[in-house]
Amino acid sequence: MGQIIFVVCRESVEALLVIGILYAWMNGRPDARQGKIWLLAGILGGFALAGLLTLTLIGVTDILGGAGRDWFEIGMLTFASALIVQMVMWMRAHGRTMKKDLESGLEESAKSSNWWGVFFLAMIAVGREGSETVMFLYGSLLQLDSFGSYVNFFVAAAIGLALAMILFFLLQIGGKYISWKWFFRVTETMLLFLGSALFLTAAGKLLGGPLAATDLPAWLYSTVWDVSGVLSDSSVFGGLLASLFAYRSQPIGWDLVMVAIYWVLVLLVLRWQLRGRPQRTQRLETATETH
Amino acid sequence: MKLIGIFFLSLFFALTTMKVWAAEGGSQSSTQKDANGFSQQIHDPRYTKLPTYLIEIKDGELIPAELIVPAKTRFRLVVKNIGSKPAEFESNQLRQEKVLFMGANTSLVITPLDVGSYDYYDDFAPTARGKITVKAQD
Repeated sequence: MGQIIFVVCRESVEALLVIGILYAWMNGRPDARQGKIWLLAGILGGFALAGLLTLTLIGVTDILGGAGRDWFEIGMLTFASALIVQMVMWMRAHGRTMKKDLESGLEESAKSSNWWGVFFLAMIAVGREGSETVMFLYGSLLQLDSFGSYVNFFVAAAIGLALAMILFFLLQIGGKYISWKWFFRVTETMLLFLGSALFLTAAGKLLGGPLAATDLPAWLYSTVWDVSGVLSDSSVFGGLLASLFAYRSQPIGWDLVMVAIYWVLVLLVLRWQLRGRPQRTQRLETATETH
Repeated sequence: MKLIGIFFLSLFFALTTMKVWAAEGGSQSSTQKDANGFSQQIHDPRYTKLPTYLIEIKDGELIPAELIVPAKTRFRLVVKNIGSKPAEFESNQLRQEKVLFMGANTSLVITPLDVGSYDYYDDFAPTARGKITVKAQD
């Protein structure tokens, strides 16, 4: 019973954190209601994805195969981290004018395409973590024999989910007592860090899976520093930092190179966006002058 | 008479050698240490290229709980779930997570490691902690 509570809570917390950050990040926006529908749709899509992934895990179907599964996960994670960066960029560009646009009755359907980011992120978060939970619950369900054990099972699963939901609401309450301007900046930064964590996980899977048999330069494999004595990433807090901020207690050269690549790319893209904006308005001005 | 005697004698030898093979096959595990203090490798015809070690998970229990492997050497881990519940072999430090249904097994290639210790555990029952100790060869 304790194990079921633990697994359900622990596995759903990670997905709920992602959803929580997305939710809080949308909450202050003028068109939050529309975004929440997309978020909900993404969560439902995630359950479907979790179900499908579970089928491959328990060997009912083997559509993907071992190597295919690795590539699928790497692709999904990289896609998710790219989506995060794209969403942050989009909000930076449109956040200020959005309220005005909506009030002046600009077409909303043009904007809805950007909510796909929210949809896919929620779907990937729920699908990845959910498939493990579904498989664990299914496996435990097979072991049950008496009516009492069934009751125990469902009560435990419900308690686990309830505990995770409490954590989710604590995050939301935290958001309410902080000024929105500050909170936007924090959630934006958190999203970018989350993107780095997803990217690093993808890179780790790439190294441990498809690239495992390839000989790369030795320095990529060697441990750069070891602070596992201070805060191991296998501890609860360290694990949370690992999945939200790409924390590693024993990073190897490969990890550092990959995180560096991510941040350099993100900063370049954001800088390019900032530089592009005044140029565009300037171009518009010159265009109107000539007319 | 003589032929029958030879037949039984050869059958006896054949059976005893087969029994020895079977015992060798059955005792394959990485719980024992070799003369240099490293964990015993297993021999699996599917995986001949790399040194291969076996970790079995039995409802949260890790067999063996400590694996000693040489430094800077790529190796293979065969992980089997022999328990009655699903298991998730996980190690953040080794960048590995693999979910295993009951009776399932998987194989992971671990990239060359520096001297140190790296932990592994069943993420569905993380009370028991396993440790891979990497020590220099010779």
